[in-house]
Amino acid sequence: MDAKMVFLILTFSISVLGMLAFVVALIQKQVLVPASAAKSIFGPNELGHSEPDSKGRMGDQWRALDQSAKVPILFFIVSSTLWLVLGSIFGLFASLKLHTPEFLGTQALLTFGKVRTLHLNIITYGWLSPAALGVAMWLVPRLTKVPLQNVRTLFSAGIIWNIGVVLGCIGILLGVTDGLEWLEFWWPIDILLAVAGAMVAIPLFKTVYLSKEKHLYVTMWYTICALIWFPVLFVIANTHFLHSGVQQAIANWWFAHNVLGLWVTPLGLGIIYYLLPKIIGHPIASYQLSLFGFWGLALFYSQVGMHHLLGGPIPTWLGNLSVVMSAGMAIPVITVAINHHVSTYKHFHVLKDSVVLRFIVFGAMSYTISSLQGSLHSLRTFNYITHFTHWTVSHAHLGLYGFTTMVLFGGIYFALPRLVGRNFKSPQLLNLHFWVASLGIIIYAVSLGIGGWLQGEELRNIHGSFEQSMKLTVPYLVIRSIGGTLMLLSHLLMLYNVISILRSEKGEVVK
Amino acid sequence: MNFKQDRLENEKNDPLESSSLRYINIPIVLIALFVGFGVTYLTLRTQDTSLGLGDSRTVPSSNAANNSDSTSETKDPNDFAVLMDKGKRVYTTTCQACHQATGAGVPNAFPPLAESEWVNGPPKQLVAIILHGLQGEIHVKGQKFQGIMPAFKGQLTSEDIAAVSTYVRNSFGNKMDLVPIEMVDQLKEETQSRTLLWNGETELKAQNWE
Repeated sequence: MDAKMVFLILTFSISVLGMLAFVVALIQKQVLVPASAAKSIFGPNELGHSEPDSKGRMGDQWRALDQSAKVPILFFIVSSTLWLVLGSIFGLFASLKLHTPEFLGTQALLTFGKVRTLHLNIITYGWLSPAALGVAMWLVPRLTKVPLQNVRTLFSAGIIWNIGVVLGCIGILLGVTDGLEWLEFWWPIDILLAVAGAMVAIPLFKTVYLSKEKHLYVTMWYTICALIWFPVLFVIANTHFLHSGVQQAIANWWFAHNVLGLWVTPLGLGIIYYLLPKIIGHPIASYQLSLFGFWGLALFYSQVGMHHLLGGPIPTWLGNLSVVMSAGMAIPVITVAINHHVSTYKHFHVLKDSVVLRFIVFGAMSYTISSLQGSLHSLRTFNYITHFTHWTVSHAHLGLYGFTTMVLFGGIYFALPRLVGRNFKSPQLLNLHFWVASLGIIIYAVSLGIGGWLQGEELRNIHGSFEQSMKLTVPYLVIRSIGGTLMLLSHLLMLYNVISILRSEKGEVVK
Repeated sequence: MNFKQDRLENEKNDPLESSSLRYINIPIVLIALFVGFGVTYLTLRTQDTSLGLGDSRTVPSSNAANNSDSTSETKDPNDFAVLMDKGKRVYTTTCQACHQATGAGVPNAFPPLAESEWVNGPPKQLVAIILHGLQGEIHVKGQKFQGIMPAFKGQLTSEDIAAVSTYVRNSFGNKMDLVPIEMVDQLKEETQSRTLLWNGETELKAQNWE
C-alpha cells in the first residue's frame, strides 16, 4: 500500500483509539483522579459561596501565593495591555483602509501590508501570548499551593520577550521580515522569543515539581502542555531552511493554526476551568469530562491547519485528513462546552454580581460557537464558499477576541486586585469595558460573517464579476470598522482601569 | 501508597463519585459518529486520485500539461489523427474531472458522454454546448440531470474545441465523423452575441442544428 495511505490511516486510527482508550480508562476507573480533584481549587469555606467582584475575598492562604511573583506578573499584564492598545490601533487602520483606501494612503510606513501585519503580530505576540502567560502563571501557585519559583527568571523572560516583539515590529515597519503569514518576525528575532518562552517554562516546571497537590487540576494540564507545544511549533516553523515550496506553505499553516489551537486556546481554556467554578463557588459539572476534553484537543488539533490550503496544490490525502480531523474537533469542543455551560446554567444569577464572570462566560460561549463554526467550514462544501472571503477574518476574531481576549480580560481583572492588594476604585468602568467590548465584537463578527458569506457566493457566481464581489462587501466593512472602533475604545478603558488600580493608594483594601 | 488510598476512596459510595462520571456517555456517542463520518469521508474522497498529487488533479492531466504542444505543424489541422491526439489532451485537462476518464460521468451529477444522444447527435449542437455551457434540466440516456457546465469559449481555442469534440465523438464506444475547425469558427460567429448558458434541453431542442 502507498506509504501516504498508511500514514493517513494511522493518524486517523491512533487519534480515535487514543480517545476511546481514555474514555474506557475513565469508566473503568483506571485514571486515578481523587474524588476531591474538582474541589481542590476551593479553600476552606469557599465551596458553595460565589465570589463576587465587590468583595474580593482573599484569605491569607491565597495572599502569599497570589503575590509570590507580583512584579513579573504585573509586568506581563501591563506590557501586554499597552501592546493591545497599539495593536488594535493598527487593526483599525487596516480596517478603515479596506473601505477608504485614501486613509493614510500617502504614508509609506502605514500602507495596508504593514499595518495589517503589525496588527496580527502585535496582537499574537505582544498581547495574547504574554497576557495569557501572565494570568496562567499567576494561577500556578494557587493550583500547586507552592509560591512561584525562579521569579527573576520569569521577569527576565518577560523583558526579553517584549524586546523581541519591539524589534520584530521595527523589522516589519522597515520591511525586514520572513515573508510568511504569522511568522513575519525576522528569524534572528525569533530566537529571542524562543529563549524567553523556554525561560517561562523553568519557573513553571520547578513549581510543578514542588507541588503540594497530589493531583494536578485540569488547568495545569492545559498550561503545562501549551508551554511544551508552543516552543516545538515555533522553532520548527521558524527553521526556514527545512521547508521550501509547497512544504513551506504546509509548515506555515500547520504553525499558524496551531498557534490558536495548541497555544492560545489551551491557556484560555485553562483560565476558564479555574475562574468559572471558582467565582460560581461550585466545582465544574463533570471533572472527568474536562480531562477527556484536554486529551481530545491534544490528539486532534495538530492536523487541523491544512484546511487553510484546500483547493491549493497540496496532496489530496493531506487535505482529506485535515477535513476529517477538523470535524473531529467537535468532540472535545462539545465536551468542553457541556462542562462550561452546564456549570454556568445552574448558577446564572452570579453573573449579576461578577463582571469577571461575565467576561469568562462570554469567552466560553464564543469558544463553543467559533469552534463549531470552524469544524463546519473546514468541510469542502462550506469551504468552497467561505475560502478567500472575510468570513475567515470574522471567524478568527470570534476565536481570538470573543473567546481568548475576553477570557484574558476577565483573568486580568480577577488577578489585579489580588496582586496589588487593592480593589478597583470604580468597578462600573469594568462593567462598561465589558459591554463596549462585547458589543464591538458582536457587531464585528456578525457583519463580517454575513459580508464574507455573500462575497463567497458572488465569487462562485459564474455570471458575476470579481469587482462585484468586492463592491458588495463595502457596507459590511464599514460596519466592521464601527465594531472595531468600539473594541479599541474598550481597550482604552481597560488601560485606564489597569493604570488606576496600580496608582491608587486610597483604593479599598481587599480583606 | 497514596494512589491506593485514592482508589479505595473512589470505590466507596461517595456522593461525588456518582456525579464525577456524569455525561461520560456523550463522548462515546460522539466518537462513534466521528468514526462513521471519518471512514466514509476518507474512503469516498481518497479513491480515484493519486494521493501524491494536488487537489482534484489526476495523473494523466499532469502528464498532458507537461507534454505541451509538440504535434507536427506540417500536417493538416483537420486531420483525424491530429484532432484525436489533441482532443485527448484537452479532454484530460478540461473535461475529465467531471465526465471521468471513461466518459461514463457520475450518476446524478455529471452526464455520461459514452453513447450519449447529445454527443452522437448533430456536431453543431455538441460544439454549442462546449462553447456556451449548459444549465438546467437535461435527459441523457434516460437519466435526468440538473447541473451546470461552464462555458469554455474563453478558455479553449476553436482548434481545441474541434479536437475535443472529435475526440468524444470517437471515444468511449462512440463512432462518428470528425468536427472541422471551420464549423467551430462558424458557430462562434453565429452565436457571437450570446452571453448566457444554454437553458437546459428545452432551449437546445428548439434550435436548428443543421
